[in-house]
Amino acid sequence: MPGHHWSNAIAMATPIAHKGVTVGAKALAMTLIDLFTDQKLLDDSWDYFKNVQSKDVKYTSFVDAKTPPAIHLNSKIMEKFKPELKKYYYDPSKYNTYLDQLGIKYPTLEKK
Amino acid sequence: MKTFCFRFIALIFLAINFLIAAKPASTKEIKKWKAEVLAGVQNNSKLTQEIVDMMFSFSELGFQEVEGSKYLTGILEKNGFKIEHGISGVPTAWLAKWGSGKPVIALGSDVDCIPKASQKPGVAYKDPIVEGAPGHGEGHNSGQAVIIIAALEIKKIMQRENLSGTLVLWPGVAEELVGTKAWYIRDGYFKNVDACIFTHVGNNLGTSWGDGGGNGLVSVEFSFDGSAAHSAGAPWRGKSALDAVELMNISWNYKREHLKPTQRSHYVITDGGDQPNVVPSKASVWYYLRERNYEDIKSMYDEAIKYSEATATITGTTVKHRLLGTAWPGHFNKPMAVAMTKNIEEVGLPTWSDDDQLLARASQKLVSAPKTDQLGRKIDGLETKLDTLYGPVQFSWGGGSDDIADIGWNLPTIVLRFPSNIPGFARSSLVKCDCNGNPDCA
Repeated sequence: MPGHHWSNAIAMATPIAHKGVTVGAKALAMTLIDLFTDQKLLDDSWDYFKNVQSKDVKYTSFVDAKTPPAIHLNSKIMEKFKPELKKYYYDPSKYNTYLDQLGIKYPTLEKK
Repeated sequence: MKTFCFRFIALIFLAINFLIAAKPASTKEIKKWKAEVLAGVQNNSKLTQEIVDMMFSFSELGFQEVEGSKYLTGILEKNGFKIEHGISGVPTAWLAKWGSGKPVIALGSDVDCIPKASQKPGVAYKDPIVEGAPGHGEGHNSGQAVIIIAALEIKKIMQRENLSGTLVLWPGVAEELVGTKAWYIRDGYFKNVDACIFTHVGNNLGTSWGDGGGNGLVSVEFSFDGSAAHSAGAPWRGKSALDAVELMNISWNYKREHLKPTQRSHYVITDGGDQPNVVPSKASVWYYLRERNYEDIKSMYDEAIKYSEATATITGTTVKHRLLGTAWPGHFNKPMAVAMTKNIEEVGLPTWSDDDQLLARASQKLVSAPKTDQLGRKIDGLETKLDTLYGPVQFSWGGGSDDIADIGWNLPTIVLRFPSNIPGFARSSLVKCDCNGNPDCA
């Protein structure tokens, strides 16, 4: 199985992705209510962090004070492809979904 | 007198407000608020779809998430969040804050995509939108929608109920390069944060705690400097930087035999010279060096530097190295993961349509997905059985990495996986269960 691969993009602007995000946002919003109302939960979390997780292992960063983030990376590839990609940016004012914009029948299973 | 009365009344009002706010919420209230956010998220499904689709269409690689950054901060700004752009000197990075006081809760998710992964959505065969262009082959177009939609709901409750607390939303810029999170930590952006929840696309709804079984890494580029010559006319006068790169790679490939089986190391040649008739005066090679703990990563890093220096010596070149990215091995918080799992159980998995399942099964067939995952569970279409809470791995062969770990080693942090992708599609450079709970593996 590939991974980091074009096939992993197939579901990512379809109802599968949208529904997955919705359940994720629900679970997250509920947990935020816990975190904003339950001081004990936060205390327990820090207790675990300090006394279990970090008991024998202390964080030392590989990044020193001077190393800048590598912001030059990927600039040439994006310069090359951005003008072409721009033509396909989603326009929600005209299309209900990105599938609609690209004229894709959902799902398209076989090449015509 | 009038002013005094007004001030007095205002003071009493404030005091009452404070008392109400300070009173812990009752179980009944919490239950009611949770029902409210469930309905609120459901009602916001149009914005959810728009964010997911929009980010998908931008298809921006790490450090170049210009449109995505503008778009997401635009939504947050419109909803009352205060934006700090360009954190850690990264133009596409930002913090979006709302609220005041403690606790401070950070919510993050990655935004970058994968080179040469352009693909039309909803189509179960290779059909790029733009041939050769980057695309969302890891689904990083979806996670910001999760945190923004959730944040907008909790904000409503906090506002109405006068709850103390601050929300901090942030993007995992250049996760595929593990390029920013250790820098955010170095620069103090998480210093006063009480807890962090990170979200990443997966095939199921779940979270985990403890050691996820993944590797940490250093991403480092070695650049050799030699001297050019006419490759036919006077090759004896040249000192090839490309020779140095090739010899370094050969030596490192011998070195592998004497490293632990948990290590992963891989490289690409970022500069191999210009054309064959010019002895390359400059050449560079970019390594990811991965291991299960800090000491072993450090040791590989030191060894690789030694190898680069040795090859520079024998080729008569000089060498410099630069750290481009790093991640610690992941470890996530137990109490938070347990609390979140209770909510996950209440939410459950989405109801998939026949069309969703048709696409999933056709895609699984397309990529010859395995029949079972590493835990022996059947892979057939989209998942319909909710995941359980994962604890620490007992054993790991090593695997991918995610720089969320650097945040998780500085404050209580968990990762929520949500089911926006098709099972049997290994994320990143490894199969799902190698990194168990640590889902995002650069």
